[in-house]
Amino acid sequence: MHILVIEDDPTTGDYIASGLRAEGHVVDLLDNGRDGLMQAMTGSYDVMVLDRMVPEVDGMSILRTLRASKKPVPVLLLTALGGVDDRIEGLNAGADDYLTKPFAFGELSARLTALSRRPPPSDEPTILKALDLEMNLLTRKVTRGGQTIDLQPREFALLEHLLRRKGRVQTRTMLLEGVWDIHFDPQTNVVESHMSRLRTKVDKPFEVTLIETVRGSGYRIAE
Amino acid sequence: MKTLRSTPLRLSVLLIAVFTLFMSVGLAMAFWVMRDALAADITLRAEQVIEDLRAIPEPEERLERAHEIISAADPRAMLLRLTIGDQTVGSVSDLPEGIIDADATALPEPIADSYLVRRADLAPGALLVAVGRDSVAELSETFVAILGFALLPALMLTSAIGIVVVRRTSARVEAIRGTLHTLAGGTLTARVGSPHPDTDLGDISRDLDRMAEAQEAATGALRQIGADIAHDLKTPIQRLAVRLEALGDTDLPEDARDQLDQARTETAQIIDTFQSLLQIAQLEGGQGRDTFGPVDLGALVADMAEIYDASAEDAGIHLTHALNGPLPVTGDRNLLSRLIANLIENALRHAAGTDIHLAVIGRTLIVRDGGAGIPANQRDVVLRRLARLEASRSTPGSGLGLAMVKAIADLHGAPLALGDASPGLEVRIAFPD
Repeated sequence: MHILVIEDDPTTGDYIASGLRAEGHVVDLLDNGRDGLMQAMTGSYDVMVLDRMVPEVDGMSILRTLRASKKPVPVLLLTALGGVDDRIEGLNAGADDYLTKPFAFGELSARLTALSRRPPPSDEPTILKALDLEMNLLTRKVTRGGQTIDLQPREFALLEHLLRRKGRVQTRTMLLEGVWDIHFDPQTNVVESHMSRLRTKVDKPFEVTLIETVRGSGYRIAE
Repeated sequence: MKTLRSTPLRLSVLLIAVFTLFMSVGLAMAFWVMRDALAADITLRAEQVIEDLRAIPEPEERLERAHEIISAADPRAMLLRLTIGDQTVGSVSDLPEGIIDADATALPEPIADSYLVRRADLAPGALLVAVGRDSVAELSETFVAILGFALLPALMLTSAIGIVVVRRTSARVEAIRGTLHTLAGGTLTARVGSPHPDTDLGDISRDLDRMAEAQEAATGALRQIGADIAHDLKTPIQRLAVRLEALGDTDLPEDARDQLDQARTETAQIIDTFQSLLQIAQLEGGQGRDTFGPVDLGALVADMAEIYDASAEDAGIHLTHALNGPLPVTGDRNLLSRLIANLIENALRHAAGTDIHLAVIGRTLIVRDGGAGIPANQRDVVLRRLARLEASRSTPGSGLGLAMVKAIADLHGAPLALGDASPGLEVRIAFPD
């Protein structure tokens, strides 16, 4: 992927850039808003990481300018604030995702991957498959190796979320947002508890593990 | 009913009542004093005539003097009859018909009302003097006239002025009240505006506007400081997190990795406390209200109970909930889910091992646990930021959970009460209609 990063703090900027490069992406890193805006307007990027508070032209202005000129590039907004209104404000200004500092690299990487690979809306499957597991979205029936698995509605939603994003890491917060519509960080291991129940039903009775844990990042169903 | 509580109206009514009372009492007293004076005067005149005639010893002269007096007097002001032997002087023929009988032994009723009658035995001679009391009757008429021409218009005028004053001050007071209400709601741009600068209410309005101005500036400054601190502190924390993560990618001995994990946990705790403090300050400043919309709190309670159900069960706790249909409220879904989550987590943390029950009764959200509860005299304390009771120092948590709950409840105009679930803590949040 070709990724534009606009971040004024050199440590954070290098951290993001080197991490993304190590994953095989091409990264342009700029440390001020003016150059960043120029680059965003002229270049062609798959996805953009934009810090909200960069000098000269601030992140929100860059975002509004991009959206006003109909640049379709997906933007992940980084913010140091994390105030009550900030997320809504960022999304309203045209950001596609939002991350509060400090963040783990795995979180950023997983979210960028999600942004760049949004499934085309026309292609709506009725059956999701992974290994020998099948999920029928119409009958809401789940089978593995021909064996029917009974899932609670939320377990179904959790599995569906992972299946639809097969091969991509889903972090705790991404699951909270996507499955439960929760936009804060609970102090209790709610995701882990639900995941362990889902695994008990989906993985435990079988030999091959379907849902893998990605250390320090989240969960994934392999492609 | 609100009109009746208006101070200017009550003052006006009181003023008019006092004014009427004093004026009536004054008039009545003046009337009594003047009537007594008039009555004394009338008696005196009668006595004077008697003494005058008594002073003349000669019957002839006495009769002549009586004739003089009676000729000079207006019959309505004075009647007189003096009989000495067979001679009578008196304006009997001038007397109004029926006022006095021929021998004057008995006096008919009207005389007693209209005249003050005195009889005197002058030896020789019998005297009858009647002094007219018309002036007393006139006095009454005069006072009725004063009452009609002075008091009533004065009353009407005062009432009219009262109404105008009440209207104007009520509008002013209403404007001040409205502004205060808006300010209290967190909209710091509200101002009274001061079209009548020279009245005391105008002064108050101006002072209120100045205060709001200062408050807005202070809040703005605070917000800026908050943003600056957030930026200046979070950048190094971000770097710290970056370095810790980079360290995690290297080969480390077991004990170093333990230290690293602890450092990560501490960093996460710093961030969480920091974030919560910032957000509580923002909520108290009224931020978040812009995104208010219709939310079904009942469904949200069910959702949150479902989310925490698994982790509660892992901890051996029954998390139950009881709803009676949807509870539509106006609010921010994200903040309200945070409120419920914080209450559940507070119970999980401080009432470890006891069951948790969520309920919606009417428009009130109730969360109950079976833990140690909070002593009545410390319930206010735990709602303050960073407040933690001595007993809970050893358990993890930032001490901001309930303060955040309170801030979110306040933002939604929902009073929060901590009570005793005997045993345990009961939190009640009553959402407005």
